[in-house]
Amino acid sequence: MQISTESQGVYTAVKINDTRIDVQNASDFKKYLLNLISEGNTTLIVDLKRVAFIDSSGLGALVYALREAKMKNGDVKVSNLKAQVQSIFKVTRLNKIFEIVDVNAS
Amino acid sequence: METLKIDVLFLGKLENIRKVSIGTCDLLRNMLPDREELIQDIELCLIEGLSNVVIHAYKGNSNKKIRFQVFVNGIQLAIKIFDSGPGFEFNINKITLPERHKSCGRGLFIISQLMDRVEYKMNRQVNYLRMVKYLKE
Repeated sequence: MQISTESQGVYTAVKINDTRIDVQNASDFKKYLLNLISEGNTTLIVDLKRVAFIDSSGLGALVYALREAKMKNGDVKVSNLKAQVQSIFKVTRLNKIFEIVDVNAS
Repeated sequence: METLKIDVLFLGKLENIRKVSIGTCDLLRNMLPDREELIQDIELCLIEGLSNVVIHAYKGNSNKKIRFQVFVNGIQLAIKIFDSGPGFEFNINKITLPERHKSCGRGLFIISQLMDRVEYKMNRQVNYLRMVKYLKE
């Protein structure tokens, strides 16, 4: 899975360069986020600008990372959601537990 | 409207799910070119249904095969996913979201929200999940 990170002050920007987070790569995605958190990057903004498809395993990876970050007084936010991704956040009501920001990261 | 029937049999490995789901939805796009939003929902439900078989019914035993069928006519699009696992009690009215911070358990809920009709039948040897979406806009 292609992911890049950039430290931006108090938070770490995590840019997903794949167009899908699904059952095939969700496990790698989860490990990547948990590794960042365990290294002390406890406040993440996950840029989903390129992600056109996410399934329940991808959502689960984000939820797991959020829980881990919160336990270390951090947070996981998501940004730049495409319509399909935003729709599934609403269906699963994860829009109520994730802060969704629009930072227009390039 | 013409009808389309797709019948797929594949080894129950997680890495096969994306491939068969994308291939199936490409065929559906040819038949329903103006229904992209619906096809994205179908792709998601297909992936959720197939993932449930691999993870829960087969518990990672990748030697087991999964069969699914898709049938489309002018009225509805129906997907039937067969498994030979132990099966599970299914009541569409009891499918709810997991606790907010649980990382799993959203697949069937997503299916129940995006499809118009969902049923699961347990038989002695072969169980099936049937999902139907009505095509009238």
